[in-house]
Amino acid sequence: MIANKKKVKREGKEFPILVYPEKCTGCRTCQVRCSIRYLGEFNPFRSYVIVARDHGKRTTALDFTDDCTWCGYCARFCAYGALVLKKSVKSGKGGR
Amino acid sequence: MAMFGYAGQILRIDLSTGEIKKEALNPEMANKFVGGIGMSAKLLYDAVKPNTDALSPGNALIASSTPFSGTVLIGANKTDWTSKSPLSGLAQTASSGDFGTNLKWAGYDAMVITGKAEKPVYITIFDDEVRINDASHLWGKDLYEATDELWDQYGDNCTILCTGPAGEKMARISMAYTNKIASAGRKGSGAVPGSKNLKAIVAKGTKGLKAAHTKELLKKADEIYDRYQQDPLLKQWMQLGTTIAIEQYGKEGKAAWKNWRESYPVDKHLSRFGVQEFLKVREISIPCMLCPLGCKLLYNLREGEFAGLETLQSCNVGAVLGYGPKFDLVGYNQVAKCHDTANRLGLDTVEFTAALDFVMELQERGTIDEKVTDGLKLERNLDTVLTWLHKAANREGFGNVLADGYPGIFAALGQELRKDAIQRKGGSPDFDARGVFGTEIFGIAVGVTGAHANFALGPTVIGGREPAWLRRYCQRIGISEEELDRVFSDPSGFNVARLTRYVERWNFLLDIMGICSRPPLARLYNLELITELYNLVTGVDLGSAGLLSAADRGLTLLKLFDISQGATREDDYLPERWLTEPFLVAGKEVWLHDYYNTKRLTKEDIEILLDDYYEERGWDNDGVPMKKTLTELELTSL
Ligand code: SF4
Ligand code: SF4
Ligand code: SF4
Repeated sequence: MIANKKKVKREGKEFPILVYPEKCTGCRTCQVRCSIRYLGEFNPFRSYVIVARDHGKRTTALDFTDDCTWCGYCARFCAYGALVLKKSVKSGKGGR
Repeated sequence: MAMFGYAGQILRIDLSTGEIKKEALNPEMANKFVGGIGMSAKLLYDAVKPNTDALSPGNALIASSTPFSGTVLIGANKTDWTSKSPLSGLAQTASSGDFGTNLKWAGYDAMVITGKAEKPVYITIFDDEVRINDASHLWGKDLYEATDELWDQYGDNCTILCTGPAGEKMARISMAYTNKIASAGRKGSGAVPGSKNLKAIVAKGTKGLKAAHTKELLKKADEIYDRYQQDPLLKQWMQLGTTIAIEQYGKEGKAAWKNWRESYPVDKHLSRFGVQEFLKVREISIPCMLCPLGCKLLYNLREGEFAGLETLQSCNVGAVLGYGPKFDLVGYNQVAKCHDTANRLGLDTVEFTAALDFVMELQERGTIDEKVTDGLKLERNLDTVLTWLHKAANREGFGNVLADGYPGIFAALGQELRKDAIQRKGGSPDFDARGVFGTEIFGIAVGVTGAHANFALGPTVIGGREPAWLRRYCQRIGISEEELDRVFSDPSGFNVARLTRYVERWNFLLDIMGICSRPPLARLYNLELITELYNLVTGVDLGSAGLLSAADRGLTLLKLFDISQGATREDDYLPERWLTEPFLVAGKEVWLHDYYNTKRLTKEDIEILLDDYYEERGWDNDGVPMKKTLTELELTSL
């Protein structure tokens, strides 16, 4: 769903991440990685990936802001398989 | 002056007056005490007067973040919680959960709460906006309900510390939890906020944080992450968390029951609490913020007794050993039910089960009869555990005694029972000494935070490690050649007391940096690396020697705190029964021995080891830090 939205917006480029929100633990590593890379600070609230945890339902919604550059950096550090680099799946590395 | 790696302020809240103060962090203090437990030690020593009643407004509830928290350094995101313990009367600390990260992102490196509110309150910390709010609608609610209600109100990105009904009633064995899962410490961490009429603290920080040398730091962080991913046990750790050790514990006879008198039968242990049984109830990982390991988890009882129950679990091996073997529970469903009940009530599993187990032995051997325990026979089963969890949390009948753990039992039934209980200063240890005698056992006798000797946990927790292997480990944690010679010149292989002193220093340093003690994370860091990372994060070079001094300084200051609260050499001991009775493993007697089993240990041996420990620390024979030591550690101004 997320990837589709981006595809429409950024023709010719493929969103590099497979997203499995049901696997997300809400650890926020992806956010801190994104914010340090693009804003030079550790701050999940300014990151281009949005992690919306619902403790009650125990679900998390993952989304990317319009500023997201589709670089895929954040996905490299998701230890729980919620963000997976497409190329790591192709090379047989990721997709835990 | 802007400081990298630090938020730059300390938040002070006096609940008696309602005053909220934001104090600039003194860079000199940051350099001397660094963060985490080091910083907490200083704040505790300054805030709590000598001989303060731990349940009085004079006690302080302190949370300290660390220089590494909130960055990309994996496994280095813990918060230190410190107070005077209502159970032991000593300092109590816990490196636990991620409250400090939100606190730091909100602009505060540490928080000190003193005083007592007139009516129940909760605190909210949203960046610059700090408020004390009415908690009458939350008071009396269970810990999970109250936390959920606050999440509903303030959103799910907040970190919430909450105490349960047992904490409200100031049970000395109560616990407060962060986000319903990470305990703020053993020995009464729930009673301290309870005594202040403080139900919860909600924190969310959106200010972020900068490092001094971001590029180099990221490079190092990536290297650490790559090494982490190579850990051969990683998959197992991610799936099992601390359950990774459960079968080994059973097989080695470390699962005790009948009040530490014998080991639980191995076949029962494996069939009821083995890994396959665990996997039937394990649902998902619930990591602390920014942690890739996620040893904490969600239980989901899909079938059988209590089917449908979902509950959170932080240290599974602790919960299983607490409830399972001790009370002969039939499997994970029953353990989960007990654990869920205790967490909701805000009771400490280890102290509660230890106290109940002890009272059961007293009844079994006829020291007390059923009249004492409200006309109830204490049998080892689920009903008994659930009944007494509720009675303790509500201080009902004999539950009023149990609520205060060992000290409550001694006060009600006689101080002479002290020698019969497996305890030091009213707290229960984590390990039995009669299996393997390493630093984690000796640490029970001398730990500045009492019997739960978390700073002494080292490589000797596993028996039979060669002296050469241990020597290599010691080099990694910064023990000098001269110090090593003193540790390893002992005819028994090594001097456990002297080694304890250095293992404590290392674990203290990890706590100062907020590094999690789970092996796949802790073993990523050595002294050289920590020194370099500290420099990259803060831009300040304290050097390895400076960081080791900071660790010694913090621990010594906690010792001075304990002394200010009345502690003496008499308070440094091992439970007497370990020295006078064997532990039965499959019917075979196991006595207290040194690490390499060269000889049985007596009370006199322990006294000699105490002298050695004090000497290695630069403390006198009464366990008081000597002037020379205080000068070296720049603590003379206190
Ligand atoms: S997507 Fe991955 S890294 Fe991001 S919060 Fe979820 S589990 Fe953590
Ligand atoms: S893909 Fe790149 S820009 Fe987008 S959220 Fe991830 S790290 Fe940030
Ligand atoms: S390993 Fe466990 S305790 Fe340690 S930081 Fe991760 S989730 Fe928390």
